[in-house]
Amino acid sequence: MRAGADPMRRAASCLALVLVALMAALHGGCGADRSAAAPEAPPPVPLRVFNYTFWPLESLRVHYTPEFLSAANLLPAPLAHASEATVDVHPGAYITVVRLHSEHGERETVTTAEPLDEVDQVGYVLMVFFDSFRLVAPGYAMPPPPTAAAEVAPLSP
Amino acid sequence: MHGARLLLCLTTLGAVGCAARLRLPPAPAPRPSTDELAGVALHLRHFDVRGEGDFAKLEPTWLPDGLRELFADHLWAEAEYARIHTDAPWTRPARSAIVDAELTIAQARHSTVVLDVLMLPWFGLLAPHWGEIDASLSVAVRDAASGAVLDSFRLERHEDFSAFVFTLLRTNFVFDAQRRAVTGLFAAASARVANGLRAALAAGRLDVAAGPSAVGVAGAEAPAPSSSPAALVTADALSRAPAVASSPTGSGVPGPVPLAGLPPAAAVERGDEGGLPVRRSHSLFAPPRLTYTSRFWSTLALLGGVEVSPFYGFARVASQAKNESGARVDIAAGQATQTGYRVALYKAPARTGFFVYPTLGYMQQTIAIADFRETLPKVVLPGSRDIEAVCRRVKDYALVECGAPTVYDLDMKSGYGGGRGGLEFVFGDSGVQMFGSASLGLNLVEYRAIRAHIADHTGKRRGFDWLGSGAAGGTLGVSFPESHVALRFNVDYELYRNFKYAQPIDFRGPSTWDETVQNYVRPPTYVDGASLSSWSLQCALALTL
Repeated sequence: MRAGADPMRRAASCLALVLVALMAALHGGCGADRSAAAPEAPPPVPLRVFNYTFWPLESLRVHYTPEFLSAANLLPAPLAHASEATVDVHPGAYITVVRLHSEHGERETVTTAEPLDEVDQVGYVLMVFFDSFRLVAPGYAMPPPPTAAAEVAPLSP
Repeated sequence: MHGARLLLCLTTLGAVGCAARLRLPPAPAPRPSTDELAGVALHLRHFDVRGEGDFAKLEPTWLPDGLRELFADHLWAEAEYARIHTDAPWTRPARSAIVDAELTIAQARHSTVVLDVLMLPWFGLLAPHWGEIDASLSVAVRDAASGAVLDSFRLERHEDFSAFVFTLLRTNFVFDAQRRAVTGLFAAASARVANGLRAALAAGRLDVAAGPSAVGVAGAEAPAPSSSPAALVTADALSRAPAVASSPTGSGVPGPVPLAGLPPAAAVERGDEGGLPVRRSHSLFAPPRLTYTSRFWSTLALLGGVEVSPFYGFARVASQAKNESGARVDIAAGQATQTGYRVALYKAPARTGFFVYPTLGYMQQTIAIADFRETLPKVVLPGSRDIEAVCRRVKDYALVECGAPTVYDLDMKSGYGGGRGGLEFVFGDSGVQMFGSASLGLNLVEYRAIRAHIADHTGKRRGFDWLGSGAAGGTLGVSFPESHVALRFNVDYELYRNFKYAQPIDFRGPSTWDETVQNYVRPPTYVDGASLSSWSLQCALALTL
């Protein structure tokens, strides 16, 4: 008898789990209907990058961890000195460029030591110097228009 | 330091101790003549030297046989005799005369003892020394055949000397006075002898038959002048000396009479038959000659000597560019030190004076040149944030310093030819001599090669260059001529200007304010050449052969 009661209880437990799963499935299927009301992730914003390293930038990468090797080069061609490129970034992005140390010297990567957390709107400018960066907020002093602008590939997802 | 001071003081004392020596002057240049004395032979039979004053205590063995040769040189220069013998025995040729001479030289040197002691550590910087030399020469000329006195005389000469600086090391002013006294006497005596012989020839008194009747005085050979002051032969005594009437050989020809206590005279014979003098010893202080049986050492002796020296070198390379105001400033520089040992040919200077000699050399320097580290001032602008950078080398993604200097490895070579000249001075005596020199050199032509390497790039350039480098230096040393050893300290500066690169290379220039970017920047600056300068210090021990 006791052995017959156990199968019954097990069947009841399984039924309860099935009901819970169904309710969960129903809840997930209705989520799309309620997403319009939830807050949306901020879209990328354009960031103007000026090269003031005195050497052409061979590579420009945007990444969201200090590691940059997996990030793609966004420059279709080297960016000359005093030239500008625009890339789309999210807040918290790191920027890495590749420049020469001297005309015949080593090629070096130069990465921002900190993420650009505050870049959340249009108008930010990043000035790349030989051994440092300067981030200029929208509405503040801007360098004169660069002599040339480079084509920038679309932001990789 | 104290040891070096003690060594210098001992050196000074050594120099002072040797100051009472007599230095022989150089022989006079032969004066060719064709006179009646061409057929007359001279025998410088006796030549005694007697010292007085500072020289009174000198040992007889010290007295130089070189004085005899010097007197013979003066006789030879005064007239073209057939031959002059200074050796004994000799075979009397026809028409010959015998010359006996005694030189007396007295020297007195004075100084203030107090100043000498006070100035001892400074080698007598201001310690006056003064004195005088009195020399006399007594000469008797005899007919060799008869022994008759043809002429006799005594000449005297007085010379003063003085010096005020570095007198504890200097002896040249004394030697100069000695030279003036001795050469003056010898020159005058030689002329007097030649004139006397000419007069005798003209009067038919030379080479007449031997015998008391021929000369009017009979007796034994004239006594040899002794080194004893009591036996000093004056002109009068010589004139009264008995002529030769007989000789040990019984031939009537005066025979050799060895001088007690004096070393035998050097064998010197002048004339067509005897040839040129086979030995000249005109300097008392000439270091003893070394005999080299090995070809290696004899060849080395011809080159002067050899020295071994540890050295310390310091080289600096710099590239310059004009700044905004037009002044040339260093854009990059590099330096290197080197130590080692050097073996070179060298001979210590022997006399004071100017010198010029050609130079051939080779220089190679491997050195790194880099621009300068510079911390740029921080600029705070409203609405902006400066962000530090993290830099990696692309080749291996190793972390590097973002603002690290730009470094080129340079390899510079130069084979050059030019000249070097300057002034060298020597003072001291036979025991120790201080010497020094100051010189300037200019390389007239160079074949230069330079290689500049950075990362995977290398630029090379070769070619001739003119008047592109020079040198300046100085030497201070002490030599021991009799020991053939010298020790010297040498400092040398070399400058190779404008070593041109294969093509202009860039460095990070000085920081400037860039109004456009509102920041301090270091723009690349191109330079086309570098100058190389080097200092070297060496302490050399030389073996002068």
